[in-house]
Amino acid sequence: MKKPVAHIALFAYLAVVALVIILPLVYVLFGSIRPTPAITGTLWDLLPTGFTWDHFASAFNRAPILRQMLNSAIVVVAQTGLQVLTSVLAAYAIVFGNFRRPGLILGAYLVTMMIPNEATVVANYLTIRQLGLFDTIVAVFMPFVASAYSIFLLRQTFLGFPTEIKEAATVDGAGPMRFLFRFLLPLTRPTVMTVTLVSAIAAWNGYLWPLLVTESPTARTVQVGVKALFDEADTDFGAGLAGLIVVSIPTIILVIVGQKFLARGLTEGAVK
Amino acid sequence: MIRTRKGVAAGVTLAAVASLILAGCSGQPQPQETVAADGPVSIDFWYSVGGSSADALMKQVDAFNSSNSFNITINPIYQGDYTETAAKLTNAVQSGDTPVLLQGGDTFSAYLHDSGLATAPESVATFDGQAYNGDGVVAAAANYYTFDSKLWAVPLMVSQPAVFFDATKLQAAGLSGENPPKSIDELFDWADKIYAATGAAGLVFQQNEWWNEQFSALNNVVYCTPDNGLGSEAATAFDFVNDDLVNVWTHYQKSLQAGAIVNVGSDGVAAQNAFSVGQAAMLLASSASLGTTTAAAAFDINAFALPVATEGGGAVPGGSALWVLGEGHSDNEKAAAVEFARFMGSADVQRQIFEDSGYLPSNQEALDGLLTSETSQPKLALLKQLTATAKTSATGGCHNGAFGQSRADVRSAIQAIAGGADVQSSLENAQSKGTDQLADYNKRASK
Amino acid sequence: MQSTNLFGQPNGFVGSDNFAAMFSDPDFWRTLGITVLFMLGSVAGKVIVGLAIALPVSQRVRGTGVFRASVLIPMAVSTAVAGLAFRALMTPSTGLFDVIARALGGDNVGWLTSTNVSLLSVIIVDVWTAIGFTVLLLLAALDSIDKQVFEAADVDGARFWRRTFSITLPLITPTLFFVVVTQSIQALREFTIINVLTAGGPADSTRTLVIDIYQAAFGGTADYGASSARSIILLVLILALTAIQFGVLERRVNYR
Repeated sequence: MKKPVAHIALFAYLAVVALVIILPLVYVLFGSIRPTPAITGTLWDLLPTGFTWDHFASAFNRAPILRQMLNSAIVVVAQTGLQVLTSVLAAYAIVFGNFRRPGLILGAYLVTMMIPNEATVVANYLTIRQLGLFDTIVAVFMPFVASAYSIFLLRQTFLGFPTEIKEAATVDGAGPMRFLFRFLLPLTRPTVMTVTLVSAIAAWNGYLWPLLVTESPTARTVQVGVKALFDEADTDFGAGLAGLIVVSIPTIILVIVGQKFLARGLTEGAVK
Repeated sequence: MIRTRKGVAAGVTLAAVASLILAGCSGQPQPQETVAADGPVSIDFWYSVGGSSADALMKQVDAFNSSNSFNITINPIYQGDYTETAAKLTNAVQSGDTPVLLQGGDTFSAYLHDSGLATAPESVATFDGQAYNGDGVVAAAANYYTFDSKLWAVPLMVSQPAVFFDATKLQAAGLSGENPPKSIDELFDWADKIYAATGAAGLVFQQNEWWNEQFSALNNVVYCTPDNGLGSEAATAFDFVNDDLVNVWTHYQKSLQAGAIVNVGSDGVAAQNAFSVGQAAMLLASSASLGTTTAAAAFDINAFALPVATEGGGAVPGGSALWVLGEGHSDNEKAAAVEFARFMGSADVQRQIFEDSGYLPSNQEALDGLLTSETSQPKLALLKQLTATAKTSATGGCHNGAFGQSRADVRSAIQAIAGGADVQSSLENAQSKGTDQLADYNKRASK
Repeated sequence: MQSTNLFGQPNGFVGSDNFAAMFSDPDFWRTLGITVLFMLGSVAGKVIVGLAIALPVSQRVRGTGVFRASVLIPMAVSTAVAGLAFRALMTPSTGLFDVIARALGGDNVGWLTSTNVSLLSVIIVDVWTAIGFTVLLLLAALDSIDKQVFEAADVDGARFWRRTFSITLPLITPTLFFVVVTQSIQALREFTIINVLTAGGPADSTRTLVIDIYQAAFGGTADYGASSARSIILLVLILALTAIQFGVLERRVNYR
């Protein structure tokens, strides 16, 4: 574009868009530090009009936020770790396992991919209850230790792995495990990283499932916990807003640090 | 004169035997059974209040945990509002995960009583042999939780609705709290006047089925028949639609559309906020809102009682009660639960809860004391309203187990009315749906 | 296929009774309607907003890089947090949205309390949370269009809008297609946002199928039979949707 007027218009437009996008978070942030009343019901709510830590103190008082963040962290580590492990092994088996009909196996996984979690929650919930695992962290990540989506992505990448290297490795006497760790994974690291990141984010963001299988505040994960905090804080808006800020800190850091991987993660899924 | 030793001994024995016999015949609640407290007991307590009401409640829970002499620890768990808590309880029954202590919303009481989950406090064997005694509970509050002349739950946080207002704004329209309106319709007139005089809304309250019940009770209308379900028979039908009620909601609809009443949907928190930040001159809310609004408002808050238009009418004291859900729990846990119930119902605790939150004291001694010592105008107004509430079927409130769904239907009707729907048909629709659900519940409960 | 009693315990095999009850329940059909409306509104919103942001940003003017970063912000918070933030914004009367509405001369908009507006509000939040995803994808697609195509168009005298509709959009149809498919399915599954904002209300005006599934099972009546029947319907819907979209839209997509 060559015209400067058009440039300015473009910038102005994008600036407004950026402000609108950022509005909710700014509102929450300013509200969380504004001395009571946290929300005044006037346009002043758009600006930081004061400072206090009171609401954060109140939030920590009303809900065991740190414990809930720990729970979420455990879920992320367990769920992501197990998911990556099972997906890598499954994709490996499908691609290099010399099955006669690998497509059939993959097809079966793809079918499960099309079944949304939301349709199976009730059945899974009843199972968890019968297993006596209700209100435990294990119940939160248990149904998700395998992911057809990850298997699919990894399978695509493994397929593209040069056969010459595989043959050379076999000739050198490398067994499957050695091949996997020494050759395959290092060379497909970007995809594995993406799969890990996507899986971790999903684990952290989980809401419906933890809502169903946990009940006590100390067993809850952070998403459900912050919603319960918001409800319980009731007219104490400041505490609710402060809770939102605290709970968002890990994800904000993650997005800042992992920008590139995230961007790639989305496009990889699209292109394939 | 019995002066010999033998004579004295005989006399003492006689007296002792006599007093034992007399004690056995004194009609005290029995059984005076004892349970040995072996080791520390930790029990779950599900509660449903938030904000500063929760603060007030938790303060007492902490006090109990640190002061009780039976090594009991109460583990409080917030379960959402009364409706959500009720839903979770139903789910918990499935796997035997019910708590032994529950803060039950008033309308949940019929269900809790019918379900077999609850145990009347006085039937529970205690640690010290002293059975729970409900005599100290304020009569109007106990009314709600008494089935077959037994008190089934200890009223924990009693609330009655009242009108909170900013005196300055009322003045601007030539109105004063000294001369309150005589009916709900007149209250809405006041809202219109304030709006006309100041350009700011006169009243705010949320669209909640509770108001439908309150407006009816104020007119001495029995909400469900027979006898609001308080008699020997369970309720079988709803019967609240009448000309007065239709008029009131029609007026509401008009004032809402004009802007004299703020539309906050069904959001009670938003209603309190709108009042605290000064967007409406009056707030129609539960007495419990006094605590939260005082904390948030920059002006002095005053209150007056809800207008009783008909003799025998009054505001239904609701709120919540502490239920001991004995089913599936050990004697130890039940005894611990009753200790807690006793503590929470005591004069001192109830007085503190009132001071901290605006929930009315359910303990008669506390109420009497506060009537003489209380100096804050709004608090005094609330206390007086409770004391003055007539004890009739209408003010006893409707008791039935189908309240969950039928209340939701009334709420939808009110929301529809706020949106402009025809008042008469919306209410009649909700009424007949509710009656159907009652029939359904009665059928299911008798299986 | 079983019915449940007062406490949610299955008490008998009732065959297809649950399905029969569901299909004859007018509330179920309303739920379906709301679900479809939500899906249509949501996908349309995401595509339009996505393009409205991606197209300008892709112009490669100096300084637009900063805006690429701002687009990531909705991804920095979870759906639950986003939902709650908007819940605060949309609080009746005292929330910022109503404050702005009144400042602009209007009245309180019942964002979460009016049955007419509630679905729109939920859609708005859903679109906001997806901004990062949609814009990044569309940007990647736009960035990969060969510059020469545009140069040729410039020579031919094509103006911005004509250029966009006749050239740019057709060239990114694979990505647009992908966005439409994934977001449609996502909209059918969306639970968190609605649960956090309105819980299906007011007066069931935002009660989508997923919410219905949840409420039936966990809303107090423990009607697992009804919940399961609805879960099957959700499954069928999603499978059907995927099939239709791959079948019909695929033909209109131009592969290079």
